[in-house]
Amino acid sequence: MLERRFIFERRGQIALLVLAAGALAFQRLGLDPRDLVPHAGGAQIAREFFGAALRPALTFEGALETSSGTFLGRVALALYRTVIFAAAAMGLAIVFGLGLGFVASSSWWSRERFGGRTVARRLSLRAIAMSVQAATRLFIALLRSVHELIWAVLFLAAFGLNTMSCVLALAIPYAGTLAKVYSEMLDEASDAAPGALRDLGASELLVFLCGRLPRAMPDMAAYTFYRFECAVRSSAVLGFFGYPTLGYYLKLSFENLDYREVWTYLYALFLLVVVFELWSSRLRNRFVA
Amino acid sequence: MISRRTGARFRLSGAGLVLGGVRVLQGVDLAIEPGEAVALVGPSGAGKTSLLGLLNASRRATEGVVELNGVDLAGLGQRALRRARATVGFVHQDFALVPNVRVAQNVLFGKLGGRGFLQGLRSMVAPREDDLVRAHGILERLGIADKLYQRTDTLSGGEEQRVALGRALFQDPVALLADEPVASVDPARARDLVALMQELAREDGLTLVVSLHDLEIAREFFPRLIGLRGGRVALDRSMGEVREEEFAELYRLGEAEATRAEEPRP
Repeated sequence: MLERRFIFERRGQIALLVLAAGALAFQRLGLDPRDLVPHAGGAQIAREFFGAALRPALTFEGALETSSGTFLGRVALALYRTVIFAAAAMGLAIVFGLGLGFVASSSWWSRERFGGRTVARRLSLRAIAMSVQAATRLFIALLRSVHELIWAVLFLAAFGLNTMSCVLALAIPYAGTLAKVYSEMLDEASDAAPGALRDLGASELLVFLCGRLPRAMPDMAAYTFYRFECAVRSSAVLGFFGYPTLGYYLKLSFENLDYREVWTYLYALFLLVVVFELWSSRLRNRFVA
Repeated sequence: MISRRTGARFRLSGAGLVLGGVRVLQGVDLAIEPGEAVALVGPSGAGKTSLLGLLNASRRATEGVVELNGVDLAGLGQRALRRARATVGFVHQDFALVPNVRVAQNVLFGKLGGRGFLQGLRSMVAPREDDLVRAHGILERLGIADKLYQRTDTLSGGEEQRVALGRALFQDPVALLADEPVASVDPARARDLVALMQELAREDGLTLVVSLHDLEIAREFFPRLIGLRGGRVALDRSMGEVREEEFAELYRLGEAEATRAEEPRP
């Protein structure tokens, strides 16, 4: 007699559990879709704001605007600053992410590399390797666990409003995220080529750099591009703290109730992300194919 | 081509290997002379790959002695062991190439064992011209010279196998080992490939040890046959002396063992 089994039994239970958790959260928060219907005064503002979406500003809206230059020039400057803040932060994050990612990966601490001839030596080397790896992973988790906005608030208090503190606030959590994902991608790369290089007498460092790293490289590059895109968005948001990125200008226009300018900034950000996506997918294709 | 040096001499006495608590080789006594061409046969799980691993110094014997050109491998430190591995070319069953680099780089990786760190790294990033010339020469002998700058993962299986062979030859080895080279390509190509390896080994004076499933090919190309069964040497004879029943015996017993292992527990 054949035992009947439901193939999706376990996965089905988990999916139901996740849905139930979502429903419970809704109920606990007392979420009500009617909250999205604006009250009397709000309705007017909402109408104005969303009405402006179809007519983004091409010139300064405010009558009090005294700055020289055109509005579109300012949008371009805001975008440019947003991108270079993100690029500087990503540059730092990639360097530290690679270094930390190597040390956090299991393949860096291979048995062949940190394994002695005698049992005592082998055990002590393994113990050292595993504790350094664990410490690195803990450190990476620490970097990641604090969001860039919180780092920005901290640095703003500590160093004041300067460019370096903004870049650092972005770079720290990004280095952590890159390190974690890099280390996982390196460990997931096939063991075949590294094994073959080991078999022909290559040192463990070369086994890692020539046999393993190239295999993981396309995935790592694709992920780095995605994080760059995230960094651009974060860099824009950091403007709300007073750094001269897109968010700064967005906030000014919003406070002056120049909704059409707000929409121009938002569309510019959207356009930037799209351009990024096109660029990264082209590069990715060249890497992979 | 005149052979520049003599091939490797392997000597194993009482060699055994335990992997992850499972005994895979036991009491292996063998002597393989320089320039010999040996076919290693036996059913799956007989220990062919493990034996090649011992010869390549990529695995240390759990007991007994394994000697490469008179040097006991058990006594070697990490560095000396790497130098020993650098002298033995190994063509893996799955080729074990880096797929997303060019053929030239994979071939040049053959010298990673014989060079320092910076030189090794250079072969990936900015190869020396004389290295490229040498790699091209090797690919020419293998009939795929036009693939030098092609990405490795765009090649066919047969071509990839030749790249793996090219990487082994770029090591400038004294021995060439190949694990089931016939299993990974179609039969017509398999015969060509074994013939090619035979020819290369003879020209360069390399000791050749190839594990095979195909007795036809073993008989056609190799003067000596070593049969493994259950981790022991069951047969070691020059090809002419092997009787038909002995072939059959090797595999029949092997199959019986395999069947027994697969029987469900009561």
